[in-house]
Amino acid sequence: MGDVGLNAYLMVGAVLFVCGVVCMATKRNGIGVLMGVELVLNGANVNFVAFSRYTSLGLDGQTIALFVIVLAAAEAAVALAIALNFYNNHLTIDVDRGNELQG
Amino acid sequence: MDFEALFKQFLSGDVAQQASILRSLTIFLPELVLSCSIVLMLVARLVSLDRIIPTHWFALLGGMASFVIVLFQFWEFGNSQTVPVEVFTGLAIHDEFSIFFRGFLTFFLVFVIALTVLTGIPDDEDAPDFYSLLCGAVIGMMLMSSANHLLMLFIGIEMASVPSYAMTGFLKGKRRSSEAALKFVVYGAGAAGVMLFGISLLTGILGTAQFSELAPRFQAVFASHAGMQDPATRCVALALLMIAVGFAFKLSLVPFHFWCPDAFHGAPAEVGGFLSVGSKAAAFALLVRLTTSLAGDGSGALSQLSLSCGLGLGLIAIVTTTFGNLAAYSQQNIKRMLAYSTIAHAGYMLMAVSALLVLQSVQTDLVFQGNHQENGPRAMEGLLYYLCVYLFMNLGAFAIVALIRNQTYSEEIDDYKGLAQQVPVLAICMAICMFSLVGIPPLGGFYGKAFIFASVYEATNVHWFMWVVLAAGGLNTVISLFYYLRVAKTMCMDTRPADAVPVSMAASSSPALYVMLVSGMVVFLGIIIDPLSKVALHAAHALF
Amino acid sequence: MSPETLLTCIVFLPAVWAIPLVLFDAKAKEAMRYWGVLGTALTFALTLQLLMQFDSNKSGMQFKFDTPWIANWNVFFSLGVDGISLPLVVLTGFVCLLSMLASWSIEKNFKGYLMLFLILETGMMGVFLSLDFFLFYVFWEVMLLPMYFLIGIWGGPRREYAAIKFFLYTLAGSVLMLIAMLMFYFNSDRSFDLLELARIAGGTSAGKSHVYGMSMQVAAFIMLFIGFAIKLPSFPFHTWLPDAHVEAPTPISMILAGVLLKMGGYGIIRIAFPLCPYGAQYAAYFLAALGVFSIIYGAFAAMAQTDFKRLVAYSSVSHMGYVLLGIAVWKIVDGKTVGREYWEMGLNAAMFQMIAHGISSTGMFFMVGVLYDRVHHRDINKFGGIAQLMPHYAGLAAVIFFAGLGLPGLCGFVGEVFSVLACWNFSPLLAIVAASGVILTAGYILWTMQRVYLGPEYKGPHPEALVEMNSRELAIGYTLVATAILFGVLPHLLFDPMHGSIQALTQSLASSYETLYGAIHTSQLP
Repeated sequence: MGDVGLNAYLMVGAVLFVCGVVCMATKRNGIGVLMGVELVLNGANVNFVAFSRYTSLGLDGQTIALFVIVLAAAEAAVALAIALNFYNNHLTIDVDRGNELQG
Repeated sequence: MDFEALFKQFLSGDVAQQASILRSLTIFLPELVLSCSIVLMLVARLVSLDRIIPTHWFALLGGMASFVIVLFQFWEFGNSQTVPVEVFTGLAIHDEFSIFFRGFLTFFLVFVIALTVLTGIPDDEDAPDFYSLLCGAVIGMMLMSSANHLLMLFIGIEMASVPSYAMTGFLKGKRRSSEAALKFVVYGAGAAGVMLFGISLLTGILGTAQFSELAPRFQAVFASHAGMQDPATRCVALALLMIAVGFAFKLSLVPFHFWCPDAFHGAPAEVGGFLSVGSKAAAFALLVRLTTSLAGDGSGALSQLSLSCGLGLGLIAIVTTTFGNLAAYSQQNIKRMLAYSTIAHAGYMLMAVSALLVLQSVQTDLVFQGNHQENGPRAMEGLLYYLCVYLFMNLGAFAIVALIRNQTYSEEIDDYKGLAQQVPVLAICMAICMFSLVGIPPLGGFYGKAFIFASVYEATNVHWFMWVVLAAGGLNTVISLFYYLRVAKTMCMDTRPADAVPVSMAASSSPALYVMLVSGMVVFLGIIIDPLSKVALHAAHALF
Repeated sequence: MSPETLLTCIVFLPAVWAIPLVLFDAKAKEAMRYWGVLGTALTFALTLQLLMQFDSNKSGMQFKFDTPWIANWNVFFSLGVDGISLPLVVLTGFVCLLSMLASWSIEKNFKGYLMLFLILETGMMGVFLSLDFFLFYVFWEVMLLPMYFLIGIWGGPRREYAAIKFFLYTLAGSVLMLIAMLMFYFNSDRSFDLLELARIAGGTSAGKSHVYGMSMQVAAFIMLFIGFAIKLPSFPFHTWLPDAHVEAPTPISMILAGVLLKMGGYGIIRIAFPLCPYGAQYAAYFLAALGVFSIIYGAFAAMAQTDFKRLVAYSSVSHMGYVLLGIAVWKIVDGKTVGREYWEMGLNAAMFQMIAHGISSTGMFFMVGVLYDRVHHRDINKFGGIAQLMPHYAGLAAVIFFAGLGLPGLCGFVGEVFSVLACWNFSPLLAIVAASGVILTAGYILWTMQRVYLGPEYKGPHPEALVEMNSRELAIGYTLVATAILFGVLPHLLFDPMHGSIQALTQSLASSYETLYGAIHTSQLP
């Protein structure tokens, strides 16, 4: 199988990114928004890995991707904990229902 | 950096390279000490040691120890004229600038821990969690301030943010607190994702993630492609814009400021004080590092890049300051008001960065008489001085809010009426902090502001738009008077309603002494300016 | 005492004097009063000592010294005194002592009051003595905070409104001043030294041949002038003044009128004119017209008041108009100053008027305060017949009010007449209008005296409280009357120390304008 080239990977990354951003912008469910964030991070990861293969970035790209996976896991853990706490207090994870802080 | 080199170092077992890792670890000592104290705190709870020794002692001693180590590093740097050292094969950099910020952050950590001990916000049960989050966030901020690589930038930001989310929602049973944390984490994670995507594009196109390589590579890319029409340059612009989103979120710049008032309103005042100073200072350190390395020596295409970045930041600064000041005006809750005030202050500080970039974009001596090499460091000196004063005045304000909350269970400005009659100490210190935030001499806030305005004025020689920035800065100072004055007026001039909850605090009690110390420092930095200003200038020189 | 120590002590003694007040028991009012009086008296004594050491025959700065303050930014702690600042420094010490003596009626939180009062005095002394622009600016703002609280806490019913209005106006002016200061700083290769900046403006500085550009001078002058005109106060910027004066407690009104307003005039003479001669000359006619308008406007406004204190406040607007007029009468024909001695006379008159107004308006506010302390209202229409109930008081008040009116033989006369005379050379039209202001002044003051002091009997509230002044009040009253007569009869006491400095000022301004004019016409300037 021939090499599909850098642009194909970047395209995948971009599609993931756009999906993620749309997901963040439209979902009212807290978990849904966090899933959007994961999509964006993984879109970036695809980019990093692809760049590390095709450009002078070298091994850096792969390493960054590894770190990002770890950081994303940590962030997701904290975010889920916070969402759970929100649920305990509000009995919903609809982010629009958090409307006590305004002004 | 290169990770290949790092791996090889580990594999080869070369003595010289191991020595360089050892050297890196020595330089990394303050962070290591903090990490150790986190581990100690958690272990202490495991073996129920925290029943005998309160957890805050671990945190306090850890913070002090790392501050002392940073001081020692500063002293060493001053003595031996050491050149900046790249540590961990270039992931981070060790120079006066990073030492300044690491010192700043550890010093601030000690003050925040002392405040939480005085107000007792984490109870004994939660103390290990709270202090490990606090110390962890500070480690992240220290990494931000010494980052020399885009990976380090991202790790630092995440390490500082993730504990902040948790601390915002720390009061678990409070509806507001949980709402604040959810909003904070959703916005924060989104901004971090967008920023990371920007970083991936930037590293890909420039083929490096090392700060020092960015400027030459950019010049090479720009030279081989024909200007803005080319996809590669457009892609770089897009990447920079996305990275700017991440910074705008951290610095709570308009239009990415929505989280700030909500998070501050919902979080305990102590956490608000911590976030408003610590994360802002670290983000500014990082922003300055990134932008100065992008601007490079300001020759050729870099000049254009630097100028447009500077003007863009100037525009954002104007909008942010004006918005923050106008929105703060109508607030009833003091924490919310202070949140908008931090937004406004981020705008003032951003003016310094904007002026710096605009000044860096000219290299010829045509515009300036005298030594223009000094202009960049001067702008940074203003920013650093401002941050130092900001530490005290903002922390002081939040500390007073926390202390009053402990007695009245209220954070509404109206409930502060006539507090001067019951607790003159708190009222006077609050007035000092408020007036310093306006920027009235002889309080410290004025000098930071004046130094920043001075460099903005200097930048008007390069581009007329800086006149607009300067005018906006001046006008905003006058606008901001209203809402700061309102707090001082409510506390000092109104009479305390008969049915209000009484507040009492002896002038010699430790909370009162703490508040007096912090606001005393605001006055001190307004009278004795020379030492700190020299240190700040010295630190700023490391960047250029 | 060495001159350096003397100047430093004059500036910082009051603030340092405030520190031990922390230790006083809040109930020991009597002790604190005497402590405060002692502090202001000592400061006044030091200013008198300065007066003794001052050499009237020299024209330049005396006792000047610099110590680096913010070395990175070339900011110096630089103090000095010349014939222009000396009388104002002594006046400040004098007025502060008298108003401290008049503070007996302050009841609420006396300790805080005293501390703010003393810090305020430090700020005012610092403004008159500093020779570094940055230092001047810092002191200028230092007096802002205490003044805000003094009006806002101890003032009358609308005190909060008045205090914030005062604060806002001054801060807005200060921001403009800050920008102008930065202009000079960066165009002079980073210097804040007022004397050096003035030398550069005059083209007499060694090694710096370039002068500030025309457009920069005009822009800077406008900004500086607005900053100072707010304090002066001149017509469009005066609206804070009636509110602040009316709401402030009596001693603070005395300081406001007696000293604070003079800072505006002093700033124009010391900073705005020497630093931008072109800008000043550019605006001279406008300034003079503004001064004349303020005279007439203030007089008419005063005439329309029924609140006694508000009337006195508007009379300040009117009287300070003469100061602006006297400063601005700089006539230039073809780049040459015409009739420099008339301008010199105008400046002398402006300075004299500042001192005279410092005495007469302090006295007028004090006299209003004495009445207010007794009957707790200030409605002119409810007064009448005071002269029968308090003859001693009415006699002293009459002298003070006549001094404000400008009766020959009293201090108010000299300044007014000389500034109008100096104006004749500049513009006869303005002089005629300004002179008619004297008639209006006489009108409203005489009418007021008739309504308040004369008349058959007092019909307002609290008639039983109208008892004769006590010895403390009498002492203040007699001191003011004595100084008013002294300067009215022997004006040269004031002119002597000022003359040399003012002559030097006009000479250097005239020559620097000539240089500039030459440069413009050979188009060396942008």
